[in-house]
Amino acid sequence: MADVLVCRSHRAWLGTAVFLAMIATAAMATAENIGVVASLDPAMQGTAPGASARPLARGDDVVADDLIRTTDTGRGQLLFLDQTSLSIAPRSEVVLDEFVYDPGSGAGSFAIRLIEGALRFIGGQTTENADGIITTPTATISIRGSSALVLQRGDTFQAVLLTGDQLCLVSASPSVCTSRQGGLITNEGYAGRVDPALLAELLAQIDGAAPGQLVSGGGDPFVSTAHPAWRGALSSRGATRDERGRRLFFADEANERLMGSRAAPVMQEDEEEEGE
Amino acid sequence: MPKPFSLLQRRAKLLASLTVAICLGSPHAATAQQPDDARAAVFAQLLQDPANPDLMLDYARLSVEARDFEAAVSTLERLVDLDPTAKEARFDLAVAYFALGANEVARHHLDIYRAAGDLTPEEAAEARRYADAIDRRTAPVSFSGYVEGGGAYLSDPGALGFALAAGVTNEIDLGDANQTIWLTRARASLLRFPNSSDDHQMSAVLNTGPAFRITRENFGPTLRPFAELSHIETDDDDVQRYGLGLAYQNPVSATFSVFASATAGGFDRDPVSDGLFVLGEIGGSYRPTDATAFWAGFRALTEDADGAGEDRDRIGGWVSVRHSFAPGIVHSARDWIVEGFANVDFEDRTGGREDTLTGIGGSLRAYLSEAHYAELGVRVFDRDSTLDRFDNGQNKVTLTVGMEF
Repeated sequence: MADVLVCRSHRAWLGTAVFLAMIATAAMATAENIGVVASLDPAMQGTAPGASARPLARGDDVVADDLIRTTDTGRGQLLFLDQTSLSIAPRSEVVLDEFVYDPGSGAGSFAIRLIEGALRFIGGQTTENADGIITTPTATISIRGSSALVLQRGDTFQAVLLTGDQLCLVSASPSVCTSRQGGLITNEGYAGRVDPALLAELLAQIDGAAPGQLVSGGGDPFVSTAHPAWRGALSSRGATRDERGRRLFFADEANERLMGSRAAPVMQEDEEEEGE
Repeated sequence: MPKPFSLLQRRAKLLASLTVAICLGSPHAATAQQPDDARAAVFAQLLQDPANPDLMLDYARLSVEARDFEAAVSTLERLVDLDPTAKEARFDLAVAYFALGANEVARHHLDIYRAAGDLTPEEAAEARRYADAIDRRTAPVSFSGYVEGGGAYLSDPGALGFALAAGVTNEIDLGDANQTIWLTRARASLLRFPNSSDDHQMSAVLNTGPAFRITRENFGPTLRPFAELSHIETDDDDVQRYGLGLAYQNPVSATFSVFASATAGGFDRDPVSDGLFVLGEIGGSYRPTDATAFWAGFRALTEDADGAGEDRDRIGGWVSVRHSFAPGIVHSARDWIVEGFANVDFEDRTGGREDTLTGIGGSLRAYLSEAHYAELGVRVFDRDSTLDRFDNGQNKVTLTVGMEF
């Protein structure tokens, strides 16, 4: 009798496990895919809503409301359908709260929760025209047309604007914003330009330690050909500060042009005669 | 009794309408960058095979060609993540961040490249150029400018002479969260014809004021109040102007930007008169490619002279174009630049005199090094007056060499 009871008990557990696996698979199948795992080293875990945790592999889909968790030494990168990328540091937990994207217009919305850890956010099309939102236990920030580093370890919150237009601490009243690339925002507000050592520490958390040796792959760098050192900076959408957008001084006695406007229309000579 | 300037008033109303339309109708609104078809196709493949290095390199290159350096950064970060020892990818990543003005993180990757890259002398020199550029960009106080000099020829009186010019721009980073800077520009030029009794010209302008990012966005619209002083001198007379103004600029998108300004102040024209002036301008630029840009603007000036001095009103417009190109026939550290302009202005003066001033010209700047250049300029001017004795035409050719710093 006891053996029968044990056997039935095992079958019950097996049936329950199979049932739960089916639910997890069904949940994943019906959940909307919003991106893929682009890289991971060595391990990351995802938990879709209503499903159990699953080990992630390169190329796996991620879905809305997925809870992404990295191990003590694991980190990875997610690539979203609108080209947004998230690089997640070890010992991090991120919930992919909201992702709406219309490929036709590029419009949409993006919001995540950083429960703990560090990440690098590089914005895609949805945050060109709308603010991306990153919420942590102690802060909420908005990002527009931008890339940023965000850290939440215990009570410590730090965000660095890497590129783009604007990073705002919207949970502060009033909100605190910076448009300074390299600008650091903490819970106390704007904290100046990020210290190089702090930046290196943040990047090391996300990317791992810097290599001691680089090896040539045989190819040629190509970005420097497109953007030599003497060129000014571009926005994330390719805009540049128009150096000719200045007032042209309006002189009437000599060739005159306002500085910087090298080929602006030249003023006329005035040959006004006395007595006229 | 001054002649009613009805035609000028109609032109002024048109200018005012355009001012309102352009300034209010062109708020800072980033246009979403849609991947082109080729890039979209590669990106679709990347979603299926995100760790494929060939696809990533392809996508990064296409993004750079499309001036979407942020997409290039995203992809190059992944390349470097997959292979942290990849030397060329590390340098490309540094330069892509540099292109976006992310100077601190560009320096971070550049430092790794320089320290661990076992660089050739050419690679080290190029990395050094970017490092120096980052130092200049991040300096709290910076100076830039040019000096140039050379020969000049004026068709009337058919004289050869020399031309000198210099300009300096000083930027002071005020250190706030929104990168407010104090911008000061000074420029001076001298044109002298030793063998002619006429045609000595000298000018100097000083303009200073802070630039505010009014929407707290890095590449959003800026507003700059300024003070300006100028002195222009010829053999016959000279004029000083002093004024306060406001300049607006908005890099609306990768291809289009708008600007406008207004200045009011006083002038002192010796020996004739002094008085007050108001000057306004509005314009925009269009950049269809990275190498080519067009500008167009409208402007209006009104001078109210004291006493027996002459009032004048001027309204006009201008267009200019700039194209940079690799010369091909010779190796050049920088692309050469060819520019052209045309302008027409209508001026009404007290007493009924009306002048039409036109100008057209162009220049070719050949860079001999990254900082040194030679420039050939040709300009043709014409003044057509209702009083024939004021008709005048002038052709001017200059050949100068200069240095930028």
